[in-house]
Amino acid sequence: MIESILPSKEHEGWRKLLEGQISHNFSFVAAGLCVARNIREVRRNKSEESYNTALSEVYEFFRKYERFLINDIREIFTFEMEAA
Amino acid sequence: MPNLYKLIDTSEATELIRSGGSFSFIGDERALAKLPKGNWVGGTTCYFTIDGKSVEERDKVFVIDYPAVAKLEKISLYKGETVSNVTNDAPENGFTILFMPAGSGASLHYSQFAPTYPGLFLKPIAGWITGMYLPDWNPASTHKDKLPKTFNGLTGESDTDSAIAMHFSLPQGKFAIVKTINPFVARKDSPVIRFEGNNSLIVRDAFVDGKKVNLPKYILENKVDFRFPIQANYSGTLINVSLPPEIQGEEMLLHQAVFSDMDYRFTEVAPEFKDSQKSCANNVIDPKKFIAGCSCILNHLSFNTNGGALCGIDGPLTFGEICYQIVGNTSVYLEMEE
Repeated sequence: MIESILPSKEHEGWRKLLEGQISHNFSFVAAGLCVARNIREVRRNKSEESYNTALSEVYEFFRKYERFLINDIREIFTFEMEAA
Repeated sequence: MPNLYKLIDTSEATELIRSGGSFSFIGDERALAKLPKGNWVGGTTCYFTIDGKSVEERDKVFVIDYPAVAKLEKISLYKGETVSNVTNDAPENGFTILFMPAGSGASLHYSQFAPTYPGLFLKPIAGWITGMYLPDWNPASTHKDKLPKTFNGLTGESDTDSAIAMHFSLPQGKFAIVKTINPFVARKDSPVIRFEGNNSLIVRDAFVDGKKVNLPKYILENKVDFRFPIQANYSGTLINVSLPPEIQGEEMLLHQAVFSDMDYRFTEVAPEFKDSQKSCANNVIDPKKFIAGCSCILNHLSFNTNGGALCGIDGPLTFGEICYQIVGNTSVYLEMEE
């Protein structure tokens, strides 16, 4: 069992990812599709409810596949973690 | 590797089914129709990549005998929009193999709406669009004996309109991962193409670098080689949409849907796949992890490939590939990781 490095849902890196402020290319096929789908949803519907729905799906995906996304998580959230 | 992953005689396939395992069979419908009832699903195509080379085969069937650790939970049939239940029917940890006949209601719904199915990307789904013997190809035919089909081994029935799925569960600690080999990349000089209608299969006008044009006309006037797909970048995952083999008039029917909020670009063969002798797609596969895969028949037909990445990985040559959503001109495969 690997120790989780996944930031909590409150981490502002999620918002930056889902609002397209962080542009990240995943090598894990499903991750790219999942994140891109939710970025589009957030862009289409700018409500907080829409953001939370998108966050729930992406967060669940990252939790399930964290072991395959370690480098992506480090790259997406490192700056945010260091700044925190 | 699966226990069996190769072309076999229908007599051998019959013995396998009677031995009680769970299989997928892919072949000509006449060959699939000879198989007895049992725990299997089938899909039609007469074209395969074997040892990195394209072959046509109408008498044998291609068998996929899934790894013993994968437990078949159920076989589900979907007509039309009921295919949207595929993610609900899939086990929490496992994978789904989905076959859909080309032109079926299920495949049209899936192409247009799968990217919006809730939770689609949380459960691995791979598969393909089934086809047929190409000299018989006539999309307008009303004779069901010459159309792409799926087979339900449980009942022995075949259908031109139903998608069929095998849902497998995996034990804790094992994961199925869907991967792709995409031999195309966006051309550096490509304009950005945006579509007006969302989820469209029929395309007329589009915005090319912001200017509204009739896209079929634009492609012809600018001598764009439409053997190459157009491509969108989904946060690093490159998804191809195949262009039709012929473009006439002011409308064209795409093989996969395009979406109004994605940027598309014209493509070329990726540099690493240009030398067909050195770039056999099979070299990318890890045989210890590999479960099953398929490759697009268009790459074989359009580029006269008989080897190399454009020929695809060993397995069926298919009329659209399923990597969660429907993609084109791509090899899709499933691996098992720990």
